Amino acid sequence: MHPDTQRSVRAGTTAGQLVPTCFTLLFFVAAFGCSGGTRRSVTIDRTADLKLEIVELQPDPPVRGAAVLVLRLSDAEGRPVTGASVSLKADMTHAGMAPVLDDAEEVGEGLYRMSFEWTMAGDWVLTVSGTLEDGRGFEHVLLVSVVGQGG
Amino acid sequence: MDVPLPLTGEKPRSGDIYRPPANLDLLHLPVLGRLLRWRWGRLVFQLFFFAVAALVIYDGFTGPQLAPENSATVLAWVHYRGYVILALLLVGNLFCFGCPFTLPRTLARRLSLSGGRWPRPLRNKWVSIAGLFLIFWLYEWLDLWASPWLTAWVAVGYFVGSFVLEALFAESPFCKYVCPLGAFNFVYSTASPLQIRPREAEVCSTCVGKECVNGSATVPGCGTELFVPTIRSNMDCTFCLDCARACPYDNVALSPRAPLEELTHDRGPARWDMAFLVVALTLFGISNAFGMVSPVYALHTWMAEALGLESDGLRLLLIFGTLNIALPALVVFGGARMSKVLGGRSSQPPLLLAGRYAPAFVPMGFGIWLAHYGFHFSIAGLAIVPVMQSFMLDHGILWLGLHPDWGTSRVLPQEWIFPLQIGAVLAGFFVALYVLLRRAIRPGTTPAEGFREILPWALVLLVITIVSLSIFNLPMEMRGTFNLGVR
Repeated sequence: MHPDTQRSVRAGTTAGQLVPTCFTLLFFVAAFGCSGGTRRSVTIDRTADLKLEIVELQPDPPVRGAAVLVLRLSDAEGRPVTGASVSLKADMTHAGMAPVLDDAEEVGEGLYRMSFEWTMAGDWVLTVSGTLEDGRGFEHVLLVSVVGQGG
Repeated sequence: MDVPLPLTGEKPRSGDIYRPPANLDLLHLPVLGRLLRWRWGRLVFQLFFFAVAALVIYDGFTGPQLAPENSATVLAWVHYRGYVILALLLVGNLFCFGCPFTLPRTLARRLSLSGGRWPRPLRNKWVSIAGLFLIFWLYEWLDLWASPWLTAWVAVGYFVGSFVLEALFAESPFCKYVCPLGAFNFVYSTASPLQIRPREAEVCSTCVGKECVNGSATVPGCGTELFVPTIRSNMDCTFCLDCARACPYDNVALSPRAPLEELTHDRGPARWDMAFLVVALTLFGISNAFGMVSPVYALHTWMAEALGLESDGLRLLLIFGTLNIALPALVVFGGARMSKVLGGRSSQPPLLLAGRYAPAFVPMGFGIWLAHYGFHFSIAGLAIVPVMQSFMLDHGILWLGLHPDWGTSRVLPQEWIFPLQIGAVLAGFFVALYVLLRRAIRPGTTPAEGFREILPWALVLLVITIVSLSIFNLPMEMRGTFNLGVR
């Protein structure tokens, strides 16, 4: 069949209608896409006075395989925060890998220990979240680069 | 079957002639067939995918920028790819069938001028090969799968590209000549079990309007200008079924075909662009997987030190240019030349040999993509559950629970995945060898000549298999993505 056959369903109008439509649509999408406003782009932290430090990360530097992370939770005055329920969610920065989850064990005054596995070398985002004894929730994010077994 | 035989000299009546039972026709199944043939049948599927694409864009721009928690990255890079490869294996080109990018295209058609023809020099696969190169290069360079925001922009780009090209040209050049997703789907749908065919060839031969390609008063004809009675291949068929809806004789079927029927027979003119596309897609599969294992970082380091290439994008351009342009060119042109030399007196011109043997790379490439995309789908196919729980919670909707269950992720047990990957690659290799052998057997050629002719192609396939297995055997590694503004 000759391809130049005019389609019977095509209803031709003018480029004057087409171009503004394209640009209006593109403008709104671009404005939306460049706005930079994300729903959950910031760490949820209802306890601004809470400090979270890494006390121990084994192995260091992190290598694919078993790992131990010990965190210290303290308040604004540096006093250890005890009795919190703390959990870890570790994600690769890209989609397509299962997250690593672990619940922390309190191993000392304000010290929380997690043991888990770096299942893949690369960039990890660790989300440490929990609830304090008074019911307030917190969430902190740590970035960790893990190398392969060979370094 | 009790068929009355006509007596000698008696003109047979049509009811007397034995006809083999008709192939199963999906378009005439009780419920599904009616839905597919319904004028708005495709729209139902397109609206579903349009809603998914809208979600990708919305969540990509406004949602959490941690890729595993955002539906844009999870849907695009885990589910879309897993869905496409499984659909092609089990059914056919189901993504193009429900393609959301063609919805605004229909609007563009209605708004457009009468539309010019796509330039003749571009009526081939070179533009879509360039598009594939661009998208795979951008994917590695900008780590698209680690960025919901960029993923959303990719979806927007597809909508805009489809809309603009449809508005400017009379045919559907975006699908046939430009779309990288379409090029991928077209190539691997040649291995799919379903194909469009006429129910009765003689009905087409007496048809005046040729509505399947020209369109009827209410339904457009084939967007990629395929004429049903001449369709021998799934290449360029988007499964849109406009041909079936436009046919006034209800003479278009969507039927199963014998496994590898298309790949083991010559089904079209030999073309360098087609041969290159098929081979390049196989090597894209390798380079895409290579970008996720540790040796790629060693190569980057070496290139930076030895060649002074500081730019990540430039280094990737060189790696991809070598693996996906230079190497396929060497395989296609070199393989065809070698085939001719080895084949001897009965051999054909290099172009015909490239066209004859390049389709063997379809099962090989399919196996590699299945191993790669299947891996991510198996590992994270169910991750969409907590992602949607989180999405709903962000919008104050509690239907899916109060806490996302981030532990939900795997579709298959971890220990199954590597053996399945190996199986996919090896199956691809052996099917590719079978396709080569079947294509080598032709009148006028002895088995020895045919065997010599396929030798260079078989060797390349063997090397590709070894390299693929080595890559899949390496632990994955993905670094250098923290600059994406995670959180």
